[in-house]
Amino acid sequence: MKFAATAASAAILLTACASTEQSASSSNVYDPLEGWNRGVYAFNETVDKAALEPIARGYRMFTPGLFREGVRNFLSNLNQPVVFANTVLQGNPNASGDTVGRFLINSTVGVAGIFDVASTLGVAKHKEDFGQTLGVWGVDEGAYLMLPLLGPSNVRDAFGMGADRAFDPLTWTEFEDNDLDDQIRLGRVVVGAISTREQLIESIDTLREQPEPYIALRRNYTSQRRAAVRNGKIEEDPYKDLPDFDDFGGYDDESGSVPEQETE
Amino acid sequence: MKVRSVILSAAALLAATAPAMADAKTEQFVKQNANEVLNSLNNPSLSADERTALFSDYMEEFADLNAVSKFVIGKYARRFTDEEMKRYQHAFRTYALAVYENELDAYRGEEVVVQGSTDRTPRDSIVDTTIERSDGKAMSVRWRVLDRGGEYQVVDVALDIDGNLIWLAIEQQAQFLALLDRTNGSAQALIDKINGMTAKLESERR
Repeated sequence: MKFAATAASAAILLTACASTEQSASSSNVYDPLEGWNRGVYAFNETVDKAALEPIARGYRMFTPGLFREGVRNFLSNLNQPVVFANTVLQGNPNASGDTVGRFLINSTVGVAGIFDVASTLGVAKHKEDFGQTLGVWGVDEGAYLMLPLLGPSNVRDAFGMGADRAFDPLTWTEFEDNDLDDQIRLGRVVVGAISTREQLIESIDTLREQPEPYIALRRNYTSQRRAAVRNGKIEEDPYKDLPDFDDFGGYDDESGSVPEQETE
Repeated sequence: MKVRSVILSAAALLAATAPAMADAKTEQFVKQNANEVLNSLNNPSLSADERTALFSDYMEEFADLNAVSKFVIGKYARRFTDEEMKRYQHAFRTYALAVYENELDAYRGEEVVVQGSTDRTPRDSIVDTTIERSDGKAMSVRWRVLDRGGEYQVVDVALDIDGNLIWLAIEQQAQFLALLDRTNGSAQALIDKINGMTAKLESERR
């Protein structure tokens, strides 16, 4: 994690020095560090295929679905204080109320968060982080970043990840046994990585079959994050950036009067 | 003067109602054809090959695959030789039909309900529909329809994934262009990749 955090900081510094020119088009992704990012992506793929993917597949094979669901619920419940802090910062009292309710119900009746009783009772689940909060506040996403071991991100979201750690009570909890602190944090990271990778088995298989997985992931991550900042609402004028199909007849025209399509 | 004002009023009325008429026609086009396409996947009396053939016939009529095949390679549509273009378009058509069949199979026999439409231009509209899935979840699907001199054809389809509109042809274009840029515009590299993806899709077909 330290390595990833250092790399992310270095990337942020590098990006800060790079041009800040960005396209307003929603289909565009600003990726001035593409060469570096592609290298990190290749590194992540190597690590994933050698270690994380086989472990995740083994985890799926040797554990029952209910157990994995319990692990997901437990990890999600641990993250609720971070979600709560971000709903407050985003000025969304309904989501804050839901999140407090979920945390109290699932931490008690749900046996330390293993059972998602709150969802059964109809209490909505929210997924907020500080990257989204910054987005709601109008902060641009900045350059696209591929983080070592952590995957796709951007300057804003990478910064957000650091802030979310500060919102996390477990970051500040001190146990008498200093080793226990580290063991709990490490355990959470390792179990979280395996659980997340297990959930992504099909998605990553599909991604790897794409003609250009790097491009597909970059577009998918960016548009998903933009939708998350809008809290799942479709943007106000979703058709404004659609490329014009009407010029198509021109592709047969030898004069080549058709403007080149630029979607990236 | 009276005749002139009547003509002017009639013209103004026509101009005012024209977009609404275009909307209604486009919506009707999507409703009828999308339902025909989904029904073609739900005929138990057909063999798998017959079903694919019927589905492909409907899709060829419903969608402008020729325009889509050119759109997804952008500037390279002018750079491929005639022979490369012919082989590429054949590969793309087979691939696109396999993708659509696999994707739409989850909605076979379900009803496509038109929710409304938006005209980008008088000839370029987006029709918003929902399709109920057998598992009870409704999927929002948007169809981009071009009016080519009275002939309507679909050129792209968007799926709404948690507020994120994914336009299939636009996503395809981003990846195809990146692959072509990386391979110095090699039509063969693209065709090989497309054929590989088609083979995988066909091996997964029910």
